[in-house]
Amino acid sequence: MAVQWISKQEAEKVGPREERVLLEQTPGHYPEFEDFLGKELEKKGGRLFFRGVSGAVYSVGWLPEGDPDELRGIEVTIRTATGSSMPSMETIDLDLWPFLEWLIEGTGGEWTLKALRQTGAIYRVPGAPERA
Amino acid sequence: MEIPQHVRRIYPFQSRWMEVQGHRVHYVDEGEEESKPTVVLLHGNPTWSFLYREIIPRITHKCRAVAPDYPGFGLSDKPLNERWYTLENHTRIFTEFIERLGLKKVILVVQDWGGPIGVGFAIKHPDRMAGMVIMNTWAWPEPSVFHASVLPWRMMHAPLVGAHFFLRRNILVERGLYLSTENREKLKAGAVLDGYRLPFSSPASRIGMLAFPRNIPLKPGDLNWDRMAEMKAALPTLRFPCRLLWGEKDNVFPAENAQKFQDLLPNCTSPRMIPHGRHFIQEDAPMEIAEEILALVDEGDG
Repeated sequence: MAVQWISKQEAEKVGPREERVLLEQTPGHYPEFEDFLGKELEKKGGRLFFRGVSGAVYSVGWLPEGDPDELRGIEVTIRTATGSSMPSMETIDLDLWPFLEWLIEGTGGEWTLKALRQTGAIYRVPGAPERA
Repeated sequence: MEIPQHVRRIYPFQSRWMEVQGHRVHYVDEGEEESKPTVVLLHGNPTWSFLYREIIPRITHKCRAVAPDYPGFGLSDKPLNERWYTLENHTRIFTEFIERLGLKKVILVVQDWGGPIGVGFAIKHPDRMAGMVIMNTWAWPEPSVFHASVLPWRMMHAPLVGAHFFLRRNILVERGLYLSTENREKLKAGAVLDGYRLPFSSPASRIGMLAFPRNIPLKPGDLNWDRMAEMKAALPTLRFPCRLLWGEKDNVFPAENAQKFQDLLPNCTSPRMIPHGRHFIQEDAPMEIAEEILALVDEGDG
């Protein structure tokens, strides 16, 4: 399933609360990933927004400067309304899978969807096919 | 961190801690025989001193056995910054740990990342070495076929994919241990898997696990390529006795690695191959490992 991109305005309608669900501290470990994602973020004003299969809304971007733990990298956050509960871990992981597929497809070269899906299947990651 | 009773029953050792370069390092220190070399057991990824729980009781009637947890693993502190987790930092912490314990004669037992960390120590401190038991590891810059492959190894720790697989899904503990152990019934028994899970209960506690694969050099210029080239060059200068024990069914470090160690080390036995053994050989052949360690202890006795 393809990622369902949404606008910043649409994401903000969900509510003000943001919680980090994924942190990549070394996006340049394989530089082609950082190149691809960096360009995509630049095109969209520094932040990407998508809706997961569950309907939950996520945001992707560079970690803001001044992180209390002085960490750097790229984060994915979930946006929720004040007072609402967080989706389960399994739900969030299912929501993240199409984003990973988009990332791999966009990075390209030796990084193939087939390899991602097979790796996900071997390690039983939600969203990946059941068999490698 | 409290160790639950059912895990404590199979890991019944007293926990000890030492502050090393600002990090609280957890270790076990069993047996009291001071006239013989001390056996120091080094774990790999994603394990901790728990990995040696079936070996320690088999050797401590004859020697002292010390098993540390690296920062980021086991009950030791877990730095949050992934950049902290380098082979250089792990080796530096381990070296100071040995010095602070005042260990003058050491038999290192190494597997997986224990290899580069232990060999890194041994080549700088050969005077402190009484021997080494080497199992399913490497100590040279050239990657194994497994480590060079996108599927599954490089994919699983690729940017963001790795953060998802390692930090959120904890795949090495939840699946990797199972796939790389022959004795799977034992692993599935509640206490064993719970023991491996215990120190890695949250994404933030798993950063060291994700950093290790990213420390494996693949080509010249990569982090640790020069460091591991230096190790490889120094192996022929190590005169202390070494024993090789190898899980033949390991698809990470195949049997050719054992042969390569034998070719490079001047004072090394022929590899003792464990036909049923996979990567986590400590789970598959604890008795055989204890025999190899005790053979070295007896050698060092003379």
